[in-house]
This record gives sequence, C-alpha cells and structure tokens, in this order.
Amino acid sequence: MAYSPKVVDHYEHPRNVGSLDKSASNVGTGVVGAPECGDVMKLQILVDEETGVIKDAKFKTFGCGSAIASSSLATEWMKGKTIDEAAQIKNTDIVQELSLPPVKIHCSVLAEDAIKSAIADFKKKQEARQAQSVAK
Amino acid sequence: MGNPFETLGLPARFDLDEADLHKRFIRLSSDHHPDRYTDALDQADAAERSAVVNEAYRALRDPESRANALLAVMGGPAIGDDKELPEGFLLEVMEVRERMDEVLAEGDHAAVDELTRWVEAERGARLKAVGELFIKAGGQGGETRAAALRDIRRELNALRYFERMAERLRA
Repeated sequence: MAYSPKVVDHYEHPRNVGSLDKSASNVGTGVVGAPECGDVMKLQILVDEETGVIKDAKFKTFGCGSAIASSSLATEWMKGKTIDEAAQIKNTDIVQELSLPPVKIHCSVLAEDAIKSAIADFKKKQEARQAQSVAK
Repeated sequence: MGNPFETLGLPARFDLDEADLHKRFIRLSSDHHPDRYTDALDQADAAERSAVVNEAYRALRDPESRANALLAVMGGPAIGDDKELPEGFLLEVMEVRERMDEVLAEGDHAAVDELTRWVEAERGARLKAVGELFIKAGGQGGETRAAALRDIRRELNALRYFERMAERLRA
C-alpha cells in the first residue's frame, strides 16, 4: 500500500518531535495507545495560562508512518490555537488532510484521542491549581 | 474468517499440540492441492479450500493470533471492543520505547540484550496468563466466564505492545 505524499512528508520530516516538562502546570500530556496495532503516542501542549493559547506542542509516536504523520500534523494544527479551538480538531480532518486509507483511520483516531487527553490533563492541572489558590 | 479449529479438525483450545497442528496442515494441504484435480472447476474449488486451510493454519500457528481466534470462537470481546490496559501501562511502554531507541542508536549490545530478555519474559508471562484464563473460562459459565474472557482481552491488549517491542528489537 502506498502512502500519500503528505504522509511521507510528515514521516520523513516530522514536525515538533520531542518532549515538554510533564510536571509543569502549563503543560498538558496525553499518552494513548491502539491495542489493534500496539502503537503508542505521546502528545504534549504548552499553554499560555492567561489566554489559553497553545504556544508549543510536541509529540513522540512509536508506530507506523500514518500514526507518526497524524500526530505530527496534530501538533502543527494545535500551535497557535486556543485549547477550546484545538479540542474541535476531528480525526476526519486528519484523514482528509493526509488522504489516509480506511485501514489507517485508527491512526487518526489515536491522534484525536491524544489531543483530547493532553487538553484534559492541562485542564485538570489548572483546576487543581485554582482549588489550591482558593484554599489559601 | 470461519472457525480455524474446525477447519483443521482440532479441539478449540489454546494449548494445542503444535506438532499435531503442523501435521494436520500438511495433510489437508496435500488433500486439497489443486494439482490433484484435472477439471478446472474442481481445481478452483480446491484452491479455495487450500486458501481456507492456509488461513486457519496461520491463525493458529502463532500463540497471539491463536488466542485471538479462540477468544472469538468463545464469544469474547474482539480487538477494539475493549481497549482496557493496566493503570499506567502506556506511560511505561512509552518510557521503554524511548530507552529502546536510545540503546539501539548507541549500539549498546548489553542493554539491548537486557531489554530483549525483559520483553521476552513479559511476553511469556502474558501468554501464560492467557493460557490459564482460557482454562478457567472453559470450565465456567455465566459471569465467571465473561470476566475471564474480558481478562484475556486485556492480557492480549498488553501483549500487542510487547510484540511490537520484540519486532523493534529484531529489526
């Protein structure tokens, strides 16, 4: 099966590979996996706590070309968006952009799960901080 | 896919006699070999039966796919129906995979060997647990059986990640 040119481009030149400090209060981390294939994906966002804008996004994916491309694209799309805007990214957008074939749709689902999980982690940290400052 | 155990005339169980499995495959492949037939239609039928036999053998030869096949025959959850993993499992997988890439890039053979042994031990442990759970599920009905089948799915979910690690280490 041939990969689309966009998948190959992201696979050969992945954007935003790396890690952010997962213990920082302004960093949200999502780690998700697909038991169908054993792929594992980590996606992290660095958020401006005042404006909710995603200033940086990093990923690390151990999986096939489509999984790497899906997470690479996800980080590209998330940067500069607010967390609420980023939460609107759908796996179908990724499928369309990368022309993923049906057997690789689960890779885009994984990326959407990773986005949601990173945002949820960030929100949880913020709520915990607010609860703390209220308690003080 | 049909029931691969039935195709090969074997009891639906996880701890198959692998020598017997191979023997049956060879015999059935020979019985259904298209070259045994002269009529074109008979040959086409034989080719179809051969393909089914091949597929059944592939499904049962490898313990992971055999477990998935048996779980399907027993009516357990399919891949993707239940994605549960132990708490913190994916984080650990992530860390191990990062370390694996490091030691492979460095060419640190001792560390690669150590990781390989660890992955093999984990694979063995999951397959052993799966075997025990199949025995438990086989003798039970109702909720006990359903719970055992669910636990098998979860062991297999985790096993997939170790299989991928093993592939990476072999590459």
